[in-house]
Amino acid sequence: MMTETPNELTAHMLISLAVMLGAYILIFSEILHRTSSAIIGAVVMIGIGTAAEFYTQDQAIMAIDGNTILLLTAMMMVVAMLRPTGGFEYVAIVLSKCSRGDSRLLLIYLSLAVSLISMFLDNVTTIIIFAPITILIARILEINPMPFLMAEVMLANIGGAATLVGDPPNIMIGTAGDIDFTRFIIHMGPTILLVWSCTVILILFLFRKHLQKVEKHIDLDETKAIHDSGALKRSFFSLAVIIVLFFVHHHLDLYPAYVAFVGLCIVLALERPEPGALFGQVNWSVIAFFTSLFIIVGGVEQSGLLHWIGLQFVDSASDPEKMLLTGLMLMWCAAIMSAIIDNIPFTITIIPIVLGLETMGVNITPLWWALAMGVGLGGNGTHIGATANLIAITESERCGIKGAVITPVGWMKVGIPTMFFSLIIASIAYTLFFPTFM
Amino acid sequence: MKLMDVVISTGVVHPGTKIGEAFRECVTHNVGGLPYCNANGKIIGRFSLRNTYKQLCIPHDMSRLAHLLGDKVSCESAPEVLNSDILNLTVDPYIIENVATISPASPVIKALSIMEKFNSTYIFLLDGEQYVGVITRMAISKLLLKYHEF
Repeated sequence: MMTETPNELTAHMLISLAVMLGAYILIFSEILHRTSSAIIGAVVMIGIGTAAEFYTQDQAIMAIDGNTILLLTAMMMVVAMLRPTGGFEYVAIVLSKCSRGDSRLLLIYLSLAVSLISMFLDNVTTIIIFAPITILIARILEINPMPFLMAEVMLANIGGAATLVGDPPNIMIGTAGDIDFTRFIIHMGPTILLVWSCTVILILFLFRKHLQKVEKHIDLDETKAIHDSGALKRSFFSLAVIIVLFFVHHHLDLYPAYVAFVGLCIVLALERPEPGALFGQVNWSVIAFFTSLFIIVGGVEQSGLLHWIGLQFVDSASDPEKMLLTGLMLMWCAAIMSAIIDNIPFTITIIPIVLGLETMGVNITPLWWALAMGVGLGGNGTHIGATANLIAITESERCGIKGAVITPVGWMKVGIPTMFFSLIIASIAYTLFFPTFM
Repeated sequence: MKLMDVVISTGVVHPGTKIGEAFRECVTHNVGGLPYCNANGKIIGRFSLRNTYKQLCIPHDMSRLAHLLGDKVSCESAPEVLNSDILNLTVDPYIIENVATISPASPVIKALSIMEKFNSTYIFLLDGEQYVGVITRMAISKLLLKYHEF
């Protein structure tokens, strides 16, 4: 068992690295579904770790971040209650009518709504709800839905980076860094607001040829969107309780996951949903994926490899003068890696390294914010950078509107400039206000 | 009540059959679908009115949010239901591979159960490999009324 970490690479480290790389290659190759690959990787890591005596089943269970997993599960159940109420469709139709045929206003309104919702709910769910109604509105207005879909997803990804619960990596960062909801939004909110506003301007410029004023009436009846106004009020009441408790959970010494379950209990008691309707809507595949990744990275951590990697950076990270540079490097590295692969495996892997630096006397607080910005903004670079991107692409493909299909290359033509632009803005803000991130 | 009492004899569609011809056969016999047979007469799929409309005319976003549509809605960008061009297309791209079949000896309740499982309004009756006709809920209901003199 790992009791002390050697300063040189050991056989255990190399074995665990091989298992993790094998699992990640299997995940990204998509030969199997990514969750299946992660489960196989987790089982192999425990098996080999036990045989090589650097990892045990108990340690594997301890490696699972219960707060993250339970928070995601509870929020998925709350969303499962909110989704059928039709409240989001109602908002989308009202906003589209407020735009009065101005495509630029329509893009801003819809993106703002999606971004605000994504600050508290899962981006994927938000896009699953908003993409079809966006396409329908564009279809009626006889305009191309592609710019709207891309803007909604990209700005939702940025918006989600502002809060502790807006993006799964943020939950992991918050848990690892013991960062509460209020502290997270105070530190990330202003920077993300700036990045969001600048990115809207960039997107309006990039899609300027598509965004014309149209003289068409949006013949959609928003009053028909609400299926059950009572259920809508009850579900939103429970969500409001959750949001209020998020802002004070640290004062009450409550975990974010527990707060989410408090809200879930309210909606369960008020709505009394059918078990099938409730549990069938939880994305168990994502939960199993995250759990498996935690176990895989737990094995690598127990082998001492992540500590060893941290040792290689400790000199630059512990130098206060180089701290800013280290933070910026982490932000850009996290963004690029998130764009190329996926921000979840990257975040789960990098967190123990950052935590390891803390044990070496490094002030890691600025690194958490840099990491959160990087993984949040990096997802926009490519179509595979975030799961919500793939949802938008799928919806664009199935809508059958000429010119609406978002291809991987088409995504990157807009996504890469947007990612670099938003990273530059975030880097400037991070540099100018670095003392506030300390 | 036996299935042979309610079976509706219809023609079948083949590779290259036009959608207009398939529509006419469905309308003539008041059935929602027809067997799709290869050159040897073997059923290899089914032509479905519902699936053809779904694939050709109804965008996913419209069907999902149909309850929100106003009465003046029009969609120039959507394939038009009333466009006669679709009648001259061939059925082949719109064929569904899974086919629910039943034999003449099966009870009516089994036919109804299979229709329920496949979320379909019809099922094909096969005597061995030989296509006999279509069983529909409508035909079963009609015979039920007659059988009980209701």
